[in-house]
Amino acid sequence: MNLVTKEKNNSFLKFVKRHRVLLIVLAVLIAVCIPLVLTVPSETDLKGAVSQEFQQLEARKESYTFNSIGIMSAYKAQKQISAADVRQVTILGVAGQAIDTTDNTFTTFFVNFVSWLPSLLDGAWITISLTISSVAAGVIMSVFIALGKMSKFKPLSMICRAYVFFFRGTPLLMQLYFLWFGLPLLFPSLTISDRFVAAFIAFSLNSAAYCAENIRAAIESIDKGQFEAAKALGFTYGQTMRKIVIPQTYRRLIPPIANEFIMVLKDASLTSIIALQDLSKITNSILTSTGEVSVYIVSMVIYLIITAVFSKVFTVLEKKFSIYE
Amino acid sequence: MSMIRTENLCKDFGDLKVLKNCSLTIEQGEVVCLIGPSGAGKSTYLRSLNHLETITEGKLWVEDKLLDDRVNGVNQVKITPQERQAALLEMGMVFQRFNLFPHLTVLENIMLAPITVKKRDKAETEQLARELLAKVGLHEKADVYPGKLSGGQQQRVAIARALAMQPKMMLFDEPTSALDPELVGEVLQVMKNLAADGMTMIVVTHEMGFAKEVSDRVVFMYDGAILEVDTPEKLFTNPSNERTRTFLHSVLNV
Repeated sequence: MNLVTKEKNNSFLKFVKRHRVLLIVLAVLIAVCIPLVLTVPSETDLKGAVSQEFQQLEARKESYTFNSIGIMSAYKAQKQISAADVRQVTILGVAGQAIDTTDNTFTTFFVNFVSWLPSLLDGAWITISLTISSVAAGVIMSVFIALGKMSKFKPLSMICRAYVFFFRGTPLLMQLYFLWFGLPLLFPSLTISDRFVAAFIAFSLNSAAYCAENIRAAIESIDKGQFEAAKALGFTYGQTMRKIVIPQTYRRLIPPIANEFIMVLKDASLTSIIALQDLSKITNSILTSTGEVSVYIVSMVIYLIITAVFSKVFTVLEKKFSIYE
Repeated sequence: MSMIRTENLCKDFGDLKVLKNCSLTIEQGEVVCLIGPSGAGKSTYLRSLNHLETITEGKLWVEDKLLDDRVNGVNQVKITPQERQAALLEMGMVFQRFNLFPHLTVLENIMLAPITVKKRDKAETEQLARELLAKVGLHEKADVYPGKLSGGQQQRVAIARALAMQPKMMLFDEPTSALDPELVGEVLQVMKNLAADGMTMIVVTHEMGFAKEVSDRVVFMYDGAILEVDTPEKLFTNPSNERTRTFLHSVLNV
């Protein structure tokens, strides 16, 4: 019993040591966020606390927003030179503190950052879920396409070959256009009403074509002796594939699938053209409505964090699957 | 009852004739060694017995059941895949390069085929697997992955894996050729024990000592044909064929 707790302690310490930077960042974030979340002021509180000038603004029905983490901002029309300059945001209050117009760059950025974060995270969630679901569906389909391509039954292998040829040979953007804009015109009954579903279909079909090639290569890299041993022991083709060959391809498949995953994550920004509210689309919307270029930096950092997390996950998976080597 | 009978077995790879009219009968409990220079077709003959190679011409019986009667590669025998499968499962095979499944532990390697192919009960199979491991002297390696074992140990696991299907005969395709010299002995010992238990065995080998000591008959193959079949005493001391003499001379007097 004592030994077990000691071992647990040990591994906990190791974990802390290995991830200390991450843990410190997390702790700071939590320390900052807790008071912010606990002291969300109500809209009327904030309105009561701001200066006379802005109460007059409010009275004139200038546009006000009040978001879920308690930030009230007003948009004032300014010099109308270009789209980015049309509006200037004035932060009136955050976290119980009424703030009047602020020209402190850091405060502005911080307040902007906090106010953008919910919608950016919504976008990031769409990007992540689109990537995970379409790569997962793509990988499952690609196993069958790869096996079909290697099949001795000519028509089947021809169909699978044609599939890979088509989806690798045409731009993903074009496939997306076709699915969302083209298909409803050709066959009104096949209209896909949900943007996410349309994007998911296009991305998973595309991803299946790429993964099929990876899987075929991985299966062909398995030693012939494995097939012979399986045959001598009486395994059918299906059993050989399921129990012996495909499990051995997992480790070899992880690097190319990680690669595919990261490609799809970034290609997901193409869904902007069918107005799916993914991270890139939301970033651009924030830019056009506020004129703040710094939103690009925030958004790119979010992309980097997602990529880093998934790279880590794939590295761990690769280690897990190589225990026998 | 003969375990295996072949009549005029032929195998072509395109224009290359690898097996030429090989006829041989192997009785129950017999240990037969196939010897001969490399490229003689020993392995191909062994592999065509359990259908790893498809023969071009000739007849093949397993336990007096005619499985193949081929003319120009076309089988004249009507037989259901289930019957064929059942007959082929009576043969266990051990390969030169072991061909263990690297992603499974030793125990899982042995248990996979009985459970998947024969739908055996898991607990019973595990017991059988552990007994077989003890038999080949590796009971303490049950949960190790094959990659962590020496060649000799891997080959012994491969033998246990083939035995787990409870075959009536065992085919060995150069089981010691890929091993370091000091590991050959442990594998041969397991094979000797198996022969002593009465298992029917067909062994392609370059181990003349093993052939001399263990086998009931020795088959000499040369250039795709079976040239001589005899007891080891006669074949090794007084071979009737000139080629056999030359071969034995070059192998035994190094």
